[in-house]
Amino acid sequence: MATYRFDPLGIVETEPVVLDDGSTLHELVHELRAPGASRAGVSVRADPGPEASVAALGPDELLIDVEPAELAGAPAVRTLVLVQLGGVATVVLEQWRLDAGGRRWTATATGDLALWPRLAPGLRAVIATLEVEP
Amino acid sequence: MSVVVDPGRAEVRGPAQAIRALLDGTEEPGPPLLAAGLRAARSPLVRFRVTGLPQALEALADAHAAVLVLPVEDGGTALRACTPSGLLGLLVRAVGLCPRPRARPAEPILVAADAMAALVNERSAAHAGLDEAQETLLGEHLDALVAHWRIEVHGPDGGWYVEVLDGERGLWTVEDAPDRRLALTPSGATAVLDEIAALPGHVGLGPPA
Repeated sequence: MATYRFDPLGIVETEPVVLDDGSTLHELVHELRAPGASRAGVSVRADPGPEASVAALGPDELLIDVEPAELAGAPAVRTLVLVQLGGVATVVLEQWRLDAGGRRWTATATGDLALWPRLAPGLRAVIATLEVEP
Repeated sequence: MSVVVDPGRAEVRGPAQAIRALLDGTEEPGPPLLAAGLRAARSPLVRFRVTGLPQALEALADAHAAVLVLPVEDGGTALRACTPSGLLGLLVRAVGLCPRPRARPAEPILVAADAMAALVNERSAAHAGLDEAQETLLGEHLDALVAHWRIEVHGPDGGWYVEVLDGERGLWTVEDAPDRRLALTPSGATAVLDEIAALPGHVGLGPPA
C-alpha cells in the first residue's frame, strides 16, 4: 500500500477523510474554515502505473497554469485549474502530479477563489513538505 | 418597458432604461442570488472595471454578492448576479488568463509612464530608452502581444489594480513605479491569478491576504 506523509503545519487536519474517488482529503483545521462551495484543504491520491495524460477539461473548467515543478524529491507537473459553478462559486484546484515508486501521485490544494489569498500560502506550504513511499 | 429574468443564470436583462429603473427601485425578481446581486448593485461597497477587452466590463459588489454589468444586443444591458468567488472567476474568464511561458530573467523593466501607450500601440520598445538587452526582451514580448488588460477595483479602503501585457511569450505585469515610471515585470499565470483573487481584500472587501 502506498503511503505518504506531510507536515500539516497546523493548517490542515492530520487525519484525512476518504473521498469517493479514493483520494484522502485533509481538510482545513476547524478554526480556519469558512463558508465556501468546496471543502478546502489538501488531498492526496496514488494510482497504479505512470501517468498517461492530463484529463480533458470540461466547459466549466479553466486551465490557468501549467509548469514543471519538483515535489517529494521527484520531477512534477504543477497545474492550476478553476472550476466555475456558474456565478455561484469558483473553486481553485492547484495540483502537483509526479511519478514515484511505480505510482502516479496527485497532491491537490483546494479552496474557494474568494478565500484563496488567505488559504493558498498555507496549503502550498503543506504540500511542499510531502514525502511519498512506494 | 420590461426586463427579462433568467432564473437559471441569475440574470436580468433589458433596455438600459428599464435596468436603470429596476436598480432605482426595490423590486427583487428571480432567485435569491439575483436578489442579493441587485442589493449589491443598489448599494455597492466595491466597483470593478475591466478595460482592454473588446468591450469594457463593470461589476458592483458588496460582501455577499455582486453583479456583472454586461452590454447586450440592441444597446441593452444584462446584470448577472454572482457570489464574490463567482465574480472573480467570471473576471478571470473574461480576461482570458491561461498558461503562458515564463520570460527570463524575471527582472522588472522600467519605462516612462507617458511612453506606455506608444509602446503598446506600436508594439515596439525601440523608443523606450532601454538598454539593448531590455529592448530586445521587451520587444520580443510585444511582437507576440495578445492583449493588454487591466482590472481596477475601488472600495472603502481606496483603489487597486492588476494590469497585464499578455502575450504568446509570457505574462508581464504593469505596476506604478517612482518618478512617473511603470515597472513591467515578467510573471506567471498563477501569480496573476493570486493578484486578481486578492483585489477585493486590497480595498476593504473580503478576507485579508
